Amino acid sequence: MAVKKRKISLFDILNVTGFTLFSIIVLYPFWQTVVLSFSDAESASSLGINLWPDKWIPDAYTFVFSYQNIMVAYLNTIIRTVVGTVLIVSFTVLAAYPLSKKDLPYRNFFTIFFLIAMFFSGGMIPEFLLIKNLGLIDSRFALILPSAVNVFFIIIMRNYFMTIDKGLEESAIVDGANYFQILTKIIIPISKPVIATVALWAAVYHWNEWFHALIYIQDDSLDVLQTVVRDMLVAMDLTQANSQMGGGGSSNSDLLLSNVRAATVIISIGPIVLIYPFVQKYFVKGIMIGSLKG
Amino acid sequence: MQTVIERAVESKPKRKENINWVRMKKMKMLYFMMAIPMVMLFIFHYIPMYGILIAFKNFSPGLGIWDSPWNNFEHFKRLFSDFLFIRALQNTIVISLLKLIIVFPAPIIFAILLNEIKSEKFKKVSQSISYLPHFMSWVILSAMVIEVFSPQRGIINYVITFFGGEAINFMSDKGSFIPILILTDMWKELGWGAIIYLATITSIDPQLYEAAEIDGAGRFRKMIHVTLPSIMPMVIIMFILRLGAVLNAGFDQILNLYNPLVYEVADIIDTYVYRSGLEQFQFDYATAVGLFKNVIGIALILTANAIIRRKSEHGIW
Amino acid sequence: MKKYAKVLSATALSSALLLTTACSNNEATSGEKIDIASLPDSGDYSDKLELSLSGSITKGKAEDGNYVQKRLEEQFNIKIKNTKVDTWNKDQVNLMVASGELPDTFAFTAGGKTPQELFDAGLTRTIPKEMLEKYAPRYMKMLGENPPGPEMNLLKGSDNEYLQLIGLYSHVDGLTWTPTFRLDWLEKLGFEPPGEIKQVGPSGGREKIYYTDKAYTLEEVEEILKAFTFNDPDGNGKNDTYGISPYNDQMHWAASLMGSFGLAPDYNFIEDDKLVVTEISKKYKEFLKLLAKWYDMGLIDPEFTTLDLNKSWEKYKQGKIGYYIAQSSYLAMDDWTKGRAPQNLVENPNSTAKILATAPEIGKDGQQGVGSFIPVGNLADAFYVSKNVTDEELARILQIFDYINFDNEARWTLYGEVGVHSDWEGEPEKSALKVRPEYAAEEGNSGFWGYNFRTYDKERVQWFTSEYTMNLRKEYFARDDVKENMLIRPYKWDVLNKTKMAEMKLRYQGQLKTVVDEFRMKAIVGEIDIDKEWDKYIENWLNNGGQDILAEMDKSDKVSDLMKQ
Repeated sequence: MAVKKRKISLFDILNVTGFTLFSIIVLYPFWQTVVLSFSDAESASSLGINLWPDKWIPDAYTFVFSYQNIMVAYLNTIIRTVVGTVLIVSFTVLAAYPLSKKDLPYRNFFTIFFLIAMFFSGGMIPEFLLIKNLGLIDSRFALILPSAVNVFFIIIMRNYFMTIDKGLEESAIVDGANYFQILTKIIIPISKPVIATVALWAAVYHWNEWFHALIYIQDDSLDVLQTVVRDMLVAMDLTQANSQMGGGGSSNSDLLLSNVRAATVIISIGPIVLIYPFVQKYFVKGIMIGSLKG
Repeated sequence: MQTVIERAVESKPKRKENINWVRMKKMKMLYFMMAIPMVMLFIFHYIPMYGILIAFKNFSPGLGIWDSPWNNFEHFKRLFSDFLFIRALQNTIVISLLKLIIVFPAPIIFAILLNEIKSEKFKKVSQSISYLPHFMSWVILSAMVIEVFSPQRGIINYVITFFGGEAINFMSDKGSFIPILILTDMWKELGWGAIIYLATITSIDPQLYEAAEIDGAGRFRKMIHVTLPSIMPMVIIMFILRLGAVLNAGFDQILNLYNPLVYEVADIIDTYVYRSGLEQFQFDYATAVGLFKNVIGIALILTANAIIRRKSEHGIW
Repeated sequence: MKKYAKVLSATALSSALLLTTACSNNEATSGEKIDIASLPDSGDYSDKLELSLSGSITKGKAEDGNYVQKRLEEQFNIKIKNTKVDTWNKDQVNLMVASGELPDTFAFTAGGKTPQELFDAGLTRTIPKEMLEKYAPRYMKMLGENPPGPEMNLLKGSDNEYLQLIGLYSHVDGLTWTPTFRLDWLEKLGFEPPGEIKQVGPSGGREKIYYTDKAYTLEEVEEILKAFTFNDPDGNGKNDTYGISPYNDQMHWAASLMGSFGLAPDYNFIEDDKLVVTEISKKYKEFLKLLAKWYDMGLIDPEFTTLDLNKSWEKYKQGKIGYYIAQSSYLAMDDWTKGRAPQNLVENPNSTAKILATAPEIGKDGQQGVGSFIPVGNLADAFYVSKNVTDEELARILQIFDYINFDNEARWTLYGEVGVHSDWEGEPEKSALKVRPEYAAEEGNSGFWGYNFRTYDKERVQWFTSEYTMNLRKEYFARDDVKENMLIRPYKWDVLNKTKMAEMKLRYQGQLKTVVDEFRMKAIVGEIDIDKEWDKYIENWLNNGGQDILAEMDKSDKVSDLMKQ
């Protein structure tokens, strides 16, 4: 990759300024939420634009963390996210690679088999009965298995595979490699950016998903973070939030529901937003060319 | 396995008439790969699919899905005799199309421009920041949006009144509500949406840029003639898939931002169904609404795919 | 339920569904004569039964082997299977209903289906009057004392089969809402309170809340709101206060204002010799015109269009609003009302604000009041028995039901033993009970509130009501003459399920609410001319199901007759 030193043009200045401005606009709600989560009712109810709290008060966090189950829920969400992501990514690769082969007989049939599942679903009742009949109620598998095959991801990844230079594979076949070896030795290494992207999507999906947890999980020790968070976000007031969370919260602090909601959001997104830099690591330019030469 | 392929390759010229069968044998490992995801999909998606029947029945939980009586498309007739539903359908289409036209291209432009940033550090930081709002819930964001557009304390009205104008209640104004929807949607999802394109851009062969440079192409021409065409297949796929969701115009966002004064333009199918309490015990009716949305979605996908296939090879199938 | 679960998990999907059909067609519950003599005597618990019980408050948090469960099991020789579903969660309830996985008893309020529809859908069984008389005499006595109790909830075409059991709502007896004003503003601006004022309580912020049983007239209120808006009542030199700040998602904020026009949301009355529903009446039109005038004058916070109930509470806390509606327990600052306006303003010990609650505003012809919480009488809510419950099980269930909910000896099912599990907040028997922190206040290890139905006589209300709220109710909100003169009830109501009113209301609620909300908001902010658009609005309302509802209402009984019986 030839990086030439060039003069900084007007375009560069505009571009950098643009992105800086955009970052500020985008950072604003996030920062505002952080500030709100560290405020109390007095300073929060001034409602205006607060860029810095009058004083940093951790009461909202104390309130949320006083919910006895929250650490367990955290752990469950992490387990679910890790296992679920590995599963989704594996299945996505396994389905996407064959579908990316234009000469695969009956390819269209298989593509349509996957596509139909993307558009039509039987809905909550038969899905619930199925999970029940499989004995998966109150099991982590109920959260992981039904979503393990994601057709959207498969299509995206298949499309990416299709853009890969055919020459690479053909030379491998000549060398006597089978399809599985080609997939693991050639395709996966040069598809790191898209695999990383799908992994990110899958992780965020599992992190945020609450509905399955709500209907399939009744055992408190298997509860996930988002069902707790959701109770808080849909609650009408603190008393209700408190009782929905199992009455663990102290109702004596001077908080607004908005303070607690803000803290809940910050707590619930913490770990997942930190993932991105790791994903970004795989966005390396010239990855294709590198493998060609290697 | 290796020998299998070799044998298959050898036998290929001998049985031209059965070429598919030969190829299938040759590629059987690919079918094995697909088998596990397909079985999973069959169990968790195809088996419960009989639930769609509910949309055509008077569902009675005591009878179950199979034995509930058919109702002669009563749910669909009811849907289309309700003029508020028709209005919601129109609003859904308008909002969704506007989002498709305005919001959909934004991450693409974002990704291409970000790619032009020279400082790797700046690039990484602004990208990491840009995707933060995706994680914020509309319950929280709506309060901030309403604050920014507030007639009393909002920054925009502050500017307007400072220059002697009259404060506008933007959130309750039919004219400004839809632009606010579009704008805030873009604001929230831009960075997140750009990730897939950034991933795709990294796989562009740098030789293409070098070749373009030799031809004397400037930066803009490289953006237009190298970067854009290289990510075009991904753009097309994203576009087609997005079309399929055209009747989902952003339930959470609208529910948290709208009010009765803007129902006329902002009430979409999902918010109307939600407000009507139709999802409560009325599975049959709610399923009919969902089915209607999906059928429209798949029809659009089929059409778009057919059109795109005629012009290029980048369709879904 | 138990058989059911086994069937479902043992069989493959499709056959399970067919079986479901087979067992749900069982005939015993479809109104056939039951041989009551063959059932055990009242108090005979010799057969051990397994029952899955849930009540009004059940959130699926009860631990197995909790205190209440163990005592009930012993007392009634049963094995209780705790319900692990949150019956307050719409999605979980929906699923439970759709999959037929119901507990033997349930009382969730997530609407959508009428009792008759639940029965027709094969989810519930009927409860014979004879069995109630034999096994739940206290319940039947309560029904008899609250007309038209014994005639309510009967199966269509039957006079002795009940579709559900019903609760006594003594806790909502009297006025639900009353207006409040910023007393410190009134004083500063030179307005006299309409009558003698008293403090709600001596401390905790209650000393800053006052009440009077006299009221301002609508004209006086208008003058007050004007001064609140324009005369800088908070003395900060800025024109940043408003008379009134409504919210956009409900109508409570105008409960007493509507009352001064003789109106209550959703109810009906006779106007020009015709039955009309509030939202299409001429009086309602006048009410809208008054609000539109106030909005035009600037007395109403224009931001209200974007405020829902919760945001409106937070806005009130900023101290820029002069008028707000309140319930008695808000004024008494009961724990659960924390954060709600108007009491949230005085929660802070440093707050110098004072609040005055008055009687509902007096309208043009002396009209004042607030809509009654329940249209007819004091009976509400629903307690169902699942289709899968046998007569023998029902006999036991009714005895447990009668004991937990109507025998005040059973206080331990809600609070345990006083002095062991809970304590009186103030004077014994005259204040509220507080569960000690080592026991769960609801369900959990104690099981309190896990099995009861929401039905409270006067004595029970005391257990969870603070002495300040009690006092307010005694002195004003639930005073006999106040109830007599100020409760607005509908003219006709189908409380005996003779018509299709309930079904129609459920079916069209979404459409009608949209039509009404849109018109009201546009009318208030002056986006439309009320006179010009009125006829179109009425037509719209009638065409969106209003016609059908009105017709059903017209066929219903007169409320005054119902309450006389």
